[in-house]
Amino acid sequence: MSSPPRTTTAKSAKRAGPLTKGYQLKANVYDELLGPDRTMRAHWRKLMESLDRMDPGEFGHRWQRAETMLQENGINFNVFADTEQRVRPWSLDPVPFVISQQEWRALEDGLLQRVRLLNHVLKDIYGRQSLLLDGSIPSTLVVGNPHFLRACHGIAVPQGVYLNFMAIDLARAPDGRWWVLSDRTQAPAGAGFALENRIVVSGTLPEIYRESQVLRLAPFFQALHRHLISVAGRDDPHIVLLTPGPSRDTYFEHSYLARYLGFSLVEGADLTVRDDKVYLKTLGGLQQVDVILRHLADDDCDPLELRADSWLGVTGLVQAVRAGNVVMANALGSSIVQCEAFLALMPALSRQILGEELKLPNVATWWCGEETARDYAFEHFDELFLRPTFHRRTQRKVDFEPAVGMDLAAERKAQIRERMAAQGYDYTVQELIQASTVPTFHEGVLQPGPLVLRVFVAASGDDFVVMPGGLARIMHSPDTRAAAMKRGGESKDTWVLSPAPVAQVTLIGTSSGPVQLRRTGRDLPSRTADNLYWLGRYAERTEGTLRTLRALIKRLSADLANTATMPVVRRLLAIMVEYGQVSSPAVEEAVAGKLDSLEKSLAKILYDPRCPNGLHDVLRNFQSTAGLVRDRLSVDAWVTLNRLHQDRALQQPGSTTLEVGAALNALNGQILTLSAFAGMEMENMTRTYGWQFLDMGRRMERAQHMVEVLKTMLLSGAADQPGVLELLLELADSFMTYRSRYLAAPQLAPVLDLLLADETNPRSVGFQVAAIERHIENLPRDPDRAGLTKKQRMIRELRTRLQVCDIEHLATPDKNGKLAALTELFKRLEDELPALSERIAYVYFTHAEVARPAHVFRAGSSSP
Amino acid sequence: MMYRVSHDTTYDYGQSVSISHHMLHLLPRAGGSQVCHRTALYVSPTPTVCNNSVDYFGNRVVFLTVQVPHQKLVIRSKSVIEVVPPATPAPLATPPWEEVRDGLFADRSAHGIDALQYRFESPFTVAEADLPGFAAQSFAPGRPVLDAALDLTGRIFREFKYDSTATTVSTPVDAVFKGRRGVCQDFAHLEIAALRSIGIPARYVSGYLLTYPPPGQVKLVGSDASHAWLSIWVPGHGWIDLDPTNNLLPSVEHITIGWGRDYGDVSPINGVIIGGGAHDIKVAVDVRPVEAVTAAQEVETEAAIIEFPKRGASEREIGLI
Repeated sequence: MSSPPRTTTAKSAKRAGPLTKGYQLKANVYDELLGPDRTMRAHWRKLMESLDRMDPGEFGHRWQRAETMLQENGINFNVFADTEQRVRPWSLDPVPFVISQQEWRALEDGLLQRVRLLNHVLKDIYGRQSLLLDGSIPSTLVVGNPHFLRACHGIAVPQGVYLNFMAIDLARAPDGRWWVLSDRTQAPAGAGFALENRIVVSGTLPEIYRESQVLRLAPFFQALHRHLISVAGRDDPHIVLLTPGPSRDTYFEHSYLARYLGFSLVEGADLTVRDDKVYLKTLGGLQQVDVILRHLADDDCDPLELRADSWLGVTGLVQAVRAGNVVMANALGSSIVQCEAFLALMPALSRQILGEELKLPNVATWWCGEETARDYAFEHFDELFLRPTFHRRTQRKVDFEPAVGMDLAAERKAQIRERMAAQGYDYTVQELIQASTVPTFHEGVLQPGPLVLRVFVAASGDDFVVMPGGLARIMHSPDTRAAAMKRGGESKDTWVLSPAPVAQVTLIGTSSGPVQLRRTGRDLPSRTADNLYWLGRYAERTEGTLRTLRALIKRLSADLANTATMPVVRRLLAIMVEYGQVSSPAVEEAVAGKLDSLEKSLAKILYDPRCPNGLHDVLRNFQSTAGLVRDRLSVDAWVTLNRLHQDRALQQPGSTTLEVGAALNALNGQILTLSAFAGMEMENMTRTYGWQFLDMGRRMERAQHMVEVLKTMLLSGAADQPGVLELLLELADSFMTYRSRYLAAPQLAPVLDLLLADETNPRSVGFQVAAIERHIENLPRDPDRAGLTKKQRMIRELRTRLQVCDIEHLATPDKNGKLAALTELFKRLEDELPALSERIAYVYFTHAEVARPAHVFRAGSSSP
Repeated sequence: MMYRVSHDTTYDYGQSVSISHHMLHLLPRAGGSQVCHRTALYVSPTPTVCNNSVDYFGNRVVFLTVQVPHQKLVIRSKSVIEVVPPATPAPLATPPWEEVRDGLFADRSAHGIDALQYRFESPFTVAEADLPGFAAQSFAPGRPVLDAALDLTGRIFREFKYDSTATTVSTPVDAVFKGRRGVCQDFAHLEIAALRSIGIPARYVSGYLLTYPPPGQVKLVGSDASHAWLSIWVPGHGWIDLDPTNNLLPSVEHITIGWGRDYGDVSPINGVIIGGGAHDIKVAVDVRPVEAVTAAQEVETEAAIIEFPKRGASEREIGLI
């Protein structure tokens, strides 16, 4: 990760000489910035001069802001699967990679030729297969290729476009020519990051960006948008972006792109196939989907006809595609040509199919299924980059990670050579390219780093368009062996300079013709409704935890020997025992006056990331649920969430002592940030079904929490003990209300009225129940059904019970001194609220029911 | 030989299934040494969607979607099939096996390209075990390919025990090889994997076998089962079937439904359901030799959702299927 140039942030630090001073050229490598004689290439001058002019301190400040922005926006690329490191920030280097428009035109020309060619090859493979019959493509690369999807052979593809959106990785060799390293035709990652990089860099260096006349990226996405609409074959089509889900490293990008393009972000489980058509399961019913922008591997798309052991897709999807009722972009089966062995065939295929020489050369590639290629591979084994030809899902002993021959252990080398002799077709070897270097910012100075450029191409009209720019990546090794995306690292914005001023474009308002006005938002997927409901619950649970902790820690600072405080502390602890945060023995010790272990427990709850039900745990649940609906949250809401989660005041792992002042500060900060989130939820979200579920979750959690708090405070000892009612009002944030209403010391009946029955107090149980009832009335229901639904009956009963309850009676002890009526009421609420929550889940979320395989019967046996 | 074959599958679900999708390879293909006089499919409840087509391997495939909530699903196929003895070359007259192996990649005819796909590992034939070594015991240098393959078939028949409790539909070849037990499907996959491991194309065949009741007893209706065997590619002759479960060259007692790279390509019924709870599946297969029947003589009490040939088609058309 690139570190912000903190060393230069001191305002006085003037840079001694230009940025290029000390920039070391590497021997026999093309440098993007400087020629071999260290003269700066013309197209870099404007940028470098501007950077040189900028005060290093100012630059450092700006860059720090940019990095915070990246962090907060949640740009991440989960390279590591383990939970501790799951979210790894994708780092961005501040200096863009610059390329002149003249050079870009040539590159673009070659890229377009290449994509036309690949598209033609796909059309042939999934159609007549004439290229196999005439030997232009060795049949093994198709019929022996696990990515050849037989189920998709013969399916007509709209407009003959297999490749709607693809990426190509490029590197520049020492001779200054660009070479193609690989074609990504499956569902390439990176376009969203390129877009995000552009937004951050252009915002950080706005003057330079404006003056430099950089070609905009938006027209490219507009073209993709228009193309997807055109393949749908009807006006106002429903386009979705299909993602494997939040557990994947590219999920952020999927949600980012979906939002940018205005498509619904869906997972396989959100879709269903009926009547050979694909539908999105929403609260408002099933909605037909016309186009699926696929970010899911093609063989994962349908367990019925493709990979039977993958449940990320949609059962029956291939049938729907075959029937012509939905368009897949890219077409199913497109991934076959990203197999590196095809690189070896491209020059000849170009001559044969297009009648043209390949304008953009491939990295030299030998597919060892051909004898001459295999001989070459044996001869140059050590210097070549070895790859398995086919990317199989199941790893076996004979499989290996791509590697350079000389890096292999002698034994491994012998093993691979032996297998290569017997099954050459399983091996593909490539030359390595010493990639060009590009300036990257490290510790306040520029250093050369090896560059791989990922560029993107989309279908448009009857041809293709190239994104003017791309994702420039700095690799860990000087040659192209580390070009695989998974290796992580740094990225750069790519600037294609225009000789003329460029027009401003944004994606909003790109639609041709008038847009139909909409207000409903009925297309909320059931699964999303489920997640939003839980997000509301977790937000509220976090608040409850924070308030309880604050109340407790506040009282620890008071004199505990004071008999007036102890019973209150005891009840607070009882709530925490109920939530599994402290153990009963710790409570007993604390009550006995031994506070050490309680303090330790509290420190753990506050600071230890591994403490079960601790603050970190609660925040993590909150955060990860939010991650599931990230595309539904505004950037500000997401930033607020990150603040909560990354609050430095709580990052003290291993801390076993509790400093009361610091802890209170931290808790106060958290409660404020959390209310900012709640505020955004109230003020910034349109009142769609999504918001209703979020709010309903919050109300349900608050109602249950309030019942728990009231019960513990009032029933686990005498209710009139000093401090108890005050504490209740504090936990419910209702002290001021009480005071303004009664101007007297708290008494049980008015407190109960305020916190239980008063529907105007946003903290009372009654308020929550009334709100839930309103939501239930507003949510879609079967219009043909007469009478009340079960959940309507349940909520009305609850509300009526609270409305008619006799507060004076509830607050009056019976002849045994017990609050029996209140006990009875709490008991009922404790049963009825969770039952209602379950009913809501059953009615609205079971749409999210998953598909599974029917039993099979194998041949030759009378048992399955 | 003429047969009447019926294949009934009944699913019983503990809870209602809201929607189910099925892909069927139940209607026998025609061609080669097999004539399909009639084949028909019956499904209850009536599926909302029923598409029939031909898959990549040339098999008849049917897709069903049942969209009404159901707790029971019955799928029944009925066929009248005539099988004539295939022309099988003398094993010793077939080419040396290395010739088959080496000639394959260069063969660019449509048949050659088709055969080549059966040369590579497929999902059900993935194995780490020393299958080349296992095959080599039969495939001595220069040995005619069919002769060697028959030897391998015999060894699997002798060295492996038929045991329907030892394996399930997802038992990998390695486990079968190690445990030396399994059913016809396992033996077919094992022999296919062994042949492919030394470069011989082999495909999986799904079908039925005529069985005989114990002496003196009447054959029970539905007592048969679907069967699986394999077929190897012999250039100049074409595909030759081998049955390792019974150690023989299939002739007129094997009825072919279809073929593919392995079970996954041609499993008789592949289904995905939504809902359903615990479920139960019952299969009854009946293979019965009959005197010559024509399609017109078949009397049906229920309406087929698919049938070949269509009712009322002329004799000439019938001859073409």
